Amino acid sequence: MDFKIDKNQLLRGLYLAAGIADRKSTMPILANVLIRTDGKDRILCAATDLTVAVMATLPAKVEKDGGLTVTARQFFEIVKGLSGEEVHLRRSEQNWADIRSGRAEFKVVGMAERDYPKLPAVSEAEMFKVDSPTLLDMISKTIFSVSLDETRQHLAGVLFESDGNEARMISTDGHRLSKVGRKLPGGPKLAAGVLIPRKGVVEIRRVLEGRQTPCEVGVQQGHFVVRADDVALSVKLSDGQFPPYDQVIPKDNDRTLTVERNELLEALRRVSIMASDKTWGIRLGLDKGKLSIEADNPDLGNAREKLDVAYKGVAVQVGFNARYFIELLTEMGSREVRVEIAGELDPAIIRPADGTDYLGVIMPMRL
Amino acid sequence: MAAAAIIHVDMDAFYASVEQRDHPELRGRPVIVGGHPTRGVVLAASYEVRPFGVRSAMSMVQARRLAPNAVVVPPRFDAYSAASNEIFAIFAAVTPLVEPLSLDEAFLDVTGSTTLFGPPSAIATNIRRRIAEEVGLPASAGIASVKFVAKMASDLAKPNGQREIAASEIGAFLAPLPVHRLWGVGPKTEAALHALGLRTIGDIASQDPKRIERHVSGARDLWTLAQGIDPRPVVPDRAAKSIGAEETFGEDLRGADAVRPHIQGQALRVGRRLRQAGIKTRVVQLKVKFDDFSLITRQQTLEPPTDDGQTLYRVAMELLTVAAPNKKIRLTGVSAQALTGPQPQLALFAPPPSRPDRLNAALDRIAERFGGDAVVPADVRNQRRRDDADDS
Repeated sequence: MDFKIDKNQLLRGLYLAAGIADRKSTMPILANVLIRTDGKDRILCAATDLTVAVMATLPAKVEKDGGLTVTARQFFEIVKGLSGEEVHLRRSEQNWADIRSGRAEFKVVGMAERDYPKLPAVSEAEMFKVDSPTLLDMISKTIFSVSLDETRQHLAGVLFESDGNEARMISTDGHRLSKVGRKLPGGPKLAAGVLIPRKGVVEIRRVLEGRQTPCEVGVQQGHFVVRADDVALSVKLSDGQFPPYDQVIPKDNDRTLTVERNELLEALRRVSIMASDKTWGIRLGLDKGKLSIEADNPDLGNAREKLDVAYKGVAVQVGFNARYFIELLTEMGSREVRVEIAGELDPAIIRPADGTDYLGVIMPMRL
Repeated sequence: MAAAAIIHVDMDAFYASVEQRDHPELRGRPVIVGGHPTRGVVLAASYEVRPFGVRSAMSMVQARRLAPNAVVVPPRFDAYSAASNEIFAIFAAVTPLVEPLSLDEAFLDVTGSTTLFGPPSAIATNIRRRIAEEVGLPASAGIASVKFVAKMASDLAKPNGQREIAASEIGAFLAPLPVHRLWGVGPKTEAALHALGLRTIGDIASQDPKRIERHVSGARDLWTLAQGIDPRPVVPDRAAKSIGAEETFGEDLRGADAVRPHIQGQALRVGRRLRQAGIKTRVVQLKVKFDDFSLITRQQTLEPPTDDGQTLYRVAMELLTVAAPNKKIRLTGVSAQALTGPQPQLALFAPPPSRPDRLNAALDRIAERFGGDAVVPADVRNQRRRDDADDS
């Protein structure tokens, strides 16, 4: 193997590969990035943790065919620091990688290409061209409420539903739920939702970061595939059964109020300083024309703030985890939001007041 | 604000009184509630047997030597726990500020209750009257403005009496009492105080605390207490640190199969008490005492936390198999450590109750109506039959 490549092109592939290569795996080779020539003008730069695989096909001047694998993290750091514009990469004996650029020269221990796990085939997938910013927006509106508990597979991802015209993403950690719907014309027609594991969603976001032009998505043999020009990402779908989310979205919460989003967000941030760092417990109190936010911490003190709101219903007090509200309100773009409460043990709904198809359901806390 | 008013209520010879209440033939007779006649310890001694020198925690052998004519009855924890629940319900009717110290003892802060129920002494009289009438048991009470004086006062009021120490009398009340009556004074500290010529609480109170400090650690706290100052508030619902059940066997048992039904019975009792309290445990501890009196404890962390007795039993048996292969065992105990209360954060998708949860709920309802022994696993019952046959 012997090729020359533009430094920034290689860096783009290594940035994605280094995010996926798994340094903690029991298989040492998974910490490596796979580099392999692909004809005379391209190389493949790939990495996988067996759940997510990224494959970047980058322009290069190939002198001699072949491949090798080398530690992704160090390779990325080396290339990032090079001063030259072109990088010359060559395999020497025992799969060592010779890296030269300008006057710098590195020899890095590598492992044989044939020992690297087989990468998922993405070329056969039927792909659908969709708007990248829309997809990115849906991801950031749901990823924060994905469960971080790896033992709860069925909650550890984002559910993606698409009928070819509209799409939805839903996530829940068992205490709160986020659901966003958007027009996604040209999207895949899926009979049922697919559950994309959290790490896969994070990598999709990295691949699409800042992208204004469309990308392609598809589902094939239990994998969710995203292609953005010369980069393909394949995510093994979770076989966990996402819970029936529609049943936990209340239909008739009758204590509703509309409040300026930023005002509520800022007040929550201030008051929650006094909340316990373990539970983030705060109390929302509704009374005629007033919304009060209170935190009471026996070790620290207490805080209280009152907002003027148009509320005419009966008085009610409900405890909540302030972080759940803050994360959700941060993602809402509208000037005002609607808060819908039923009782002190019932789920509350928060949604943008401008009618955007987005909502969060939050279960109360006993305080 | 009015001065604090704290009542310490302590049942008199609690287990023994319950036995005398439920078995009229025992009334007026010396009664010892204890584990095994030759091997256990005294759990409670009625007032009739105390003149013989029998005290709680004394070995049964010694107690029977002191009082050979005493009636020894085995404990019935379900009955004590039921009586305790009734007593604490009476406390709760007076004030929410109830700090339980055990099944039969609590501090009550009645500072805020006096406008409703009258002066503290009247509240104490009323509580003792209600316990006598509704639960059928004698209780004593101490009343003072601070916790430790209230506790000393109830001690001195026993049996079946009450005593109030006014704030102005605390100094005079404490002065003649021996130093070991102060909280925190064990035999070592007592000896150190005696060496300084300090024999009564009054001796300590009149000293310069700096002088005592040079010789006795924690002297500053003792001196403060000796002044009758105790800033500790009554803390309601102080969570128990562990819940356990243990048993000394009639004869030493060898091997896992021999102790299995006993451990199962203990584990099920612990499970029921966890569910009654609405809590779960993260750690099961097994305690084993061998025939040479050596003692080991082994514990295992549980994930998720549980309140299921069968789960506790399985884990306890695993611990036993590893820890005590084929040795002679005198006592086993199962306890739930690292207790966790209900989660404050409510769940969006409430999981349907599991099969063990539903079974336990049904068993708990039966136990509530017909007693804890109404339904037990077959091998526990068989073991009890064998034990009964051995006793006769």
